[in-house]
This record gives sequence, C-alpha cells and structure tokens, in this order.
Amino acid sequence: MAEKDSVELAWEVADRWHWFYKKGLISRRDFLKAVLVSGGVTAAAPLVAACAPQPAGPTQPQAPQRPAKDTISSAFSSDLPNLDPHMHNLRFGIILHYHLFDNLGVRDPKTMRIGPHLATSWKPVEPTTWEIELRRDVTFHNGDPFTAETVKFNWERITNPEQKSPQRGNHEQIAGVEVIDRYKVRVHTKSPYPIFVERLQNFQMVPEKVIKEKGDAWFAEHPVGTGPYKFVEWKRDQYILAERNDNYWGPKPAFKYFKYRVIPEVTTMIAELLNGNIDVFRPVPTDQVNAINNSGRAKVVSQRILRTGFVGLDAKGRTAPNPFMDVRVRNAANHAVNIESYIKSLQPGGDRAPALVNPMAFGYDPAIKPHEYDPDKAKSLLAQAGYSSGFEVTFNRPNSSLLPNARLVFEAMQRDLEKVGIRAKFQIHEARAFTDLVSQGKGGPMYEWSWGYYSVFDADGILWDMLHSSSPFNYYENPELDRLLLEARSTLDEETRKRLYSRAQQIIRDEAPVIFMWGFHQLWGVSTAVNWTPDPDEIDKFYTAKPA
Amino acid sequence: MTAYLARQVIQLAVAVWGISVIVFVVNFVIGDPINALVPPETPEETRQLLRHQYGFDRPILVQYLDFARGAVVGNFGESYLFKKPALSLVIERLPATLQLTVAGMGVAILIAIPVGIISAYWRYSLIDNVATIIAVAGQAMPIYWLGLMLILLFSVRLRWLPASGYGTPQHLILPAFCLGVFTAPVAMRLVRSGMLDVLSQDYIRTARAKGLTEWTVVMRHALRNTMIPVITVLGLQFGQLMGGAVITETVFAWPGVALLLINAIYRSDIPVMQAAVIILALIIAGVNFLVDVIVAVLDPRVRLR
Repeated sequence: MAEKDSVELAWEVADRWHWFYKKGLISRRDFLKAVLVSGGVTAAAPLVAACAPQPAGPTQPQAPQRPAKDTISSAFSSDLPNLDPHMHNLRFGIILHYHLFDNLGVRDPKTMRIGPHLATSWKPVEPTTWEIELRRDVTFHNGDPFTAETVKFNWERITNPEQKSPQRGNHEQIAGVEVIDRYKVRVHTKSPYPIFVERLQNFQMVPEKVIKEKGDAWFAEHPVGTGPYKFVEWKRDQYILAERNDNYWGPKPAFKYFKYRVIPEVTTMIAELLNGNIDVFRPVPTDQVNAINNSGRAKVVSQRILRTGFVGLDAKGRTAPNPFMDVRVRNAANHAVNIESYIKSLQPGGDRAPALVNPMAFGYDPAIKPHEYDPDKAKSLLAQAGYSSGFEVTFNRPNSSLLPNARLVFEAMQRDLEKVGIRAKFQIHEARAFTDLVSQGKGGPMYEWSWGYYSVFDADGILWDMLHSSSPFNYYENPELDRLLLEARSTLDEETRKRLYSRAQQIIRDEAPVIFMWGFHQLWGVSTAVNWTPDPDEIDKFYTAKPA
Repeated sequence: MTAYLARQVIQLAVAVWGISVIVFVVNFVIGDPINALVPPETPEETRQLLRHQYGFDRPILVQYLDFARGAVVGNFGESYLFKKPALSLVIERLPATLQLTVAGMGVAILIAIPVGIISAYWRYSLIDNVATIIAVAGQAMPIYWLGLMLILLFSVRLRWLPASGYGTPQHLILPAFCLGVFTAPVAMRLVRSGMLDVLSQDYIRTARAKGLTEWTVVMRHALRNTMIPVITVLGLQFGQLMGGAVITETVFAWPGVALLLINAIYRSDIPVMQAAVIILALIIAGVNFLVDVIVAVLDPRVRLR
C-alpha cells in the first residue's frame, strides 16, 4: 500500500516539474535533474522505511510509553543464547527464568536455606532416596497441569547426555526419579547427597507436553512455564518482554509487565537508569556510586553475595618450587595484609572468610578467627623460614575481575606485602586464558582468584573445588583434609557435617593455603520509582518489586 | 575495463581469504574456547566431552579446512550459543548495522562537504581555523567517549533523545551523529585541500572570466573535480565506519552485527565470530570495489593504470 502511494506521489512531483518546464521556467536539463532527484527521493522512501525499525506489532503492549508505571525493567549486558532454562547457565538467564518458571524450592533470603515452592515438603526416606510432595494447584501458562510426571520428565531431561544441558553437572548425583502418585515423587541419588536440597532451586520446571509436541528448538524461543510472568516476546539483542500471569498460584507481581533489556555498556545503563528507562541494574562500578546517589532519580543498594575472593598460593609447588611451600611463609603473607582496611576503604562491604568458607554458607564456623594484621609477626615468621631479606615473587592476575576496585585492592596488598619483604610483581593475563592457566597448574606462585560456589550455599561448594586434591584448581594437598571433605559430602546428618567442616576450617586457617580475603558485596542501582531490594543469592526477583 | 574489474575481484578474494585465516587462527591463540562456554567450576570430564562434541580436539588444519569448505557456500556452522546457523544470525542483524552506517556516512558527508568548501574558500580565515580545530578534535576524540558525552548531554541532562535502544527515528539520531562526527574530519580536510588545489587552476579563472557567479564556479566547476579523491577516501572510510559502528552499537545498545560480534567474541562463539567478520569484510571490500568502479567511470584515466 505504502509503495503504491509513493509511486503515485513520484508521478505527481514529476508532473509538477514538467509543468514548470513547459512554461519555460526551467531548462530541459534542470527538469530532468529535478525529476530524477525528487522521484528518487520519493521512490526510495518506502525502501528506507522498510530498512527502518518496524513499528510495534499488535502483540506488543505499548508498555514504555504509558504514563502510569506498569512495567518493571532491568538490563543485562548481552543477550541470552536461548530461553530454555535447562540449556544455559548464565546469571541473567537464571534471573529471567525465575520469572517465567518455578522451581521446586527457593532460597529464603533471611535464613539462606531452601524453602518450599512447587514442592511443599521433602525428606530423606533412605540415605540415597528423597521423597518430595508437590503443590496441587499449579498449571503451566498454556493450561497444562504440573504433576509428579512433570518433575520426573525434568530430571530425566536435564540428566540425559543427549540433551547436552550445561547444567547436567549439577544433577550428576541423581540416579532416577520414581512417581509415587500424582503429586509425590521419590528421587534416588547415586550416594548419600547432603546438598540435594540445594538442587531444588535454580532448576526450573518445564512442560513435558509442549516440548514433546513442539520440540526443543521451538521451546528455546517460546518458553512456557508456571511462573509469575508469562513470556510475550523476544527481540534479539534488544529486549525480552513478559506479562503478569494473572492465574499464578502464588503472590501476584505488582507490575503488569517485566522487561529485560540488553545494554552492553555500563555507562549507558547508568544513563537509562537515571532517565527512568530501566529500574534496576548491576553491578554498579564503585566510582559511579556518588553520581547515582546524588541524581535524586536512583540510589545504590549493596548486598552481600556468595562469591568469595582469595589469593592462591602454590603451597605444593605445582607450578614450580617456591617460598610459599613453607607454611610459615604462607602465614606471614596472611599477617602482612591489612584485610580490614581494604574492605573498609576500597569495598562496598565484605564478609571476611578466615578459612575460605563464606559466612552465608552452611558449615561456616564463626569460632575460627581470621589472621590479625601484624607486619612484625609476618617479618619474624619470614625470618624463621629463612627469608629475613624477603624474596621476589610473580603475582598472576586476570585483566578483568569480579572484585569491585580489584586493581586498587591488589595494589594495596602489594604495598603491604612489600613492607615485610615479599616483593610481588604483577603479571596480567587475558581473562579467558587465565582460567586455563590456573586450572592447568600454572597459576603459581601467587594468583588472584574468586569462587562463586555454583550458588550452593554450602562449605562443600568451595572447599571441595579449591582444596580437595582431586580438583584441577587445587594447589595444596593434605590427606587429612581430603578425608574430612569426603566424609562431609557423604552423610546427610547436619550436625556431623558441621563438625567435620569445623575441623576442616581449623586446618585450613592454620595451614593458610591461600591469602584469605572476603565474601564480596555487590552494588545494584535501583530507581527511586520502585521499591525493591536484591537478595544474596544474586537472583534478582523483580516479581517482589512494588511501585514506590 | 573488464581486466580492471577482474583484477579488483581477485584482490578482493585474496583479502577475504586472508581475513578468514586470521579470524580462524586468533581463536586458538586466545585460549581454550571451552572456557568461554562453561563456568570455571565445570569439571574436566565435562570439558573433555564438550571439546569432543565441538570438534576442538581435532588437528587445527582439519578444523580450518572444514570451516573453509563451509564458508565458501555460506555455511559457517551453527552458533554454539544460539544453536542456529551463524550466517542467518548475522543476516538478521545486518539491516540495523547498514542503517546506522549509512546514516553515519550521511552525517559525515553533510558535515564534511560544506565545511570543507567554506574552509577552502575562506582559507586561513577565522572560520577555517575553527573548522580545523574542530576537525582535529573530532579525530582526536575517542568515539566511545563522544558517544557517552552525547548521551549525558542530550539524554540524561536535556532529555531530548533516548540514550539507547532501537525502534524509532529518534533512536537513530545520537548513534548516527556520533559515527558521523567521527568520520567527517578526514573527508572534510580532503575536500578543503582538493578545493584549494582546484580553485587555483586555470579553468576556474576561465570560469570566473566568463562572468559566472562564485556559487556556480565553486559548486559546479570546482566541487566536481574535488569529489573524485573524496569519493575514494569515503570508500576507504567505510571500513573505519564499520569499525566505529562496533563501538557505537555497544555504547547505544544498537542491535546490529557489531553487537552480535562483540558478544560472540566474549563468549567464544566461533562460528558467529567468523561469519560476522567475514560478512563485514565482504561489505567493506564490496564498498571499496564499488568506489573503484565509480571512480573509474568518473575518471577515465583510472582505467589506464
């Protein structure tokens, strides 16, 4: 239609020029030029229009233009590969899928333990068998019921090697699922599996019938869940839009729409936050905190997270023989650094982890005291170890870090270490190659590292991967510690586990296989138009947001 | 003419092949591509399995030949992340990038030609000096910084234009302007020097002697001859413009090829990286080819070379 109009218009224009020409007002040459130019412009208009962004189709609600705030929006830095919750393990995907889908359990932000959600209760009936009771009032967005069969399908899907789910490793302990009745299942594990309950969260229930009928490829672009929001549309590299599920079994979200935008550049995110085009984003760079807080349009909120930082020391000489193979040198390094002052002056906050375990994780023992800042003690320990004149050492670091203000923190640490004689020289590596370096045993003698626990709030989440001798990230070996860690992951008894982890942490504290740092705090920028607080599990739940 | 064109096509093919080798090899220099696909916590067995599934455990030459065979027929393989043909992902985003670069080029031309002419005409005047300073500043300003400043001024402070996104003509203004300002100075300096050169030639004196108006002398007689080198340079600048678009798209969250490419690089999505780089290279090479042809048509001397 538009094309026909523009052709007609071009004719009219040409006709008008022809009139000028016939009247002798313009030359023949000018007439031809005029027709070419004006005709070209009018004819090209629909082409340009075709290239131009298409106006919103009828399916897209005009959410952003409405004066009344009915949309909560956030941004992430790069688009998701797909919208199938089992087929990625990106943080922003997990967050999105908490809105479109439901989990069997969710973490209670107050206790950090997993509480009921689609599952109403669970208990071990045998050391390797868990029984789960399910809600009876849950349906998928398309009307399909959620039942025990759904749960069985989900576990079978995610553990199926053919499915190639990147989350398969999370469920490798699952041996099989047995349907007891319509709302009860039994899950068998390969061995006693104390962190089974942790696996009930971040495991979104997908509909069996839809996937079997339409296939994985369709589902990856048209997610159908049971969650508080229903999927509306996905514009790649632009946004994902979801609408409130008015039939939701749980508390209904305050905002009718949830929009997740793709904005790669953090400064642009800040601009959009201040403009009111997004309501929440993270992480806020520490140097932007004042700018946001002083804007009057948004504020910065800090929250502790599970990720825990430390400086790895090559205690077993995995890379090459080095001074840190002596326990006195490792303790000296821990006494030399003023951790409290780094947290105070360079961090938005931080929870000291005196034996690597984050205070939020199960098994953390508050009785274990951190190394006190004592340069004199550090010097005397170094002297005892035969390094009274100190030594030089390479400190490997990646070129990008998840620690806020990382460069300043490690420069301060470098100065403190130098004061006692440990002259650390930075060697900066490309971030992607850095992971290889560390996992292949080339991180020594010193390397910057942090661990996210795979979001499992349990001491096992860090101690096994960092310190058990079987892990590729291990630079310290101790058969006694190995035994304690293995025992602690093989029993369901919480008291026994706590006791084992206390022992383990005492050994770790004394042996100082790393320079202990802290559990990170992260910064969120939140618009003053909404009432919302982030959770420590780093899963932003916008369905809890309210208009301010 | 045919021989000339054939030579150009062969040059183009060699350039694109060279780029494909570089793109392919660089991936293996950076590190294990598996690291970008999985979190660091992933056990070694899973990594091995993935390495095998993606074929990273084959000899590099075999991997390259496999890639080259597909690339020739436009099959760059399936994106590791999106599980879709890499080429179609690139094609999907091409209109947005072309829209941005063409608009950026338009802005550049709209700035460069009038300012260049004025600077040349009133050489060493105040206006020429100001234009020179602005040109130097435009070249010196990182496009990234300029973009952010434009957002701060027009979006956050004045609230006239959206800071990021895609969908309306307003969304195009800031990124296109940013890209145009970045591209304009070179063309502008060239218009100026070309104009100066031409204005002192005999045929211009003849034109003036005929009693033509200054407007006709400059716009009709002088500008035309100035345009030949300018068109060549604008063609070359198109490559820079594409490079600038990578940054502009990132700053303004513009959903084009560049944004796709950046993410592909971050996450080691090799097929998408390869498809995007090669398509961009083809476009740049194609534009330069077109420019060569236009210049050859405009200037008969070119063909004799």
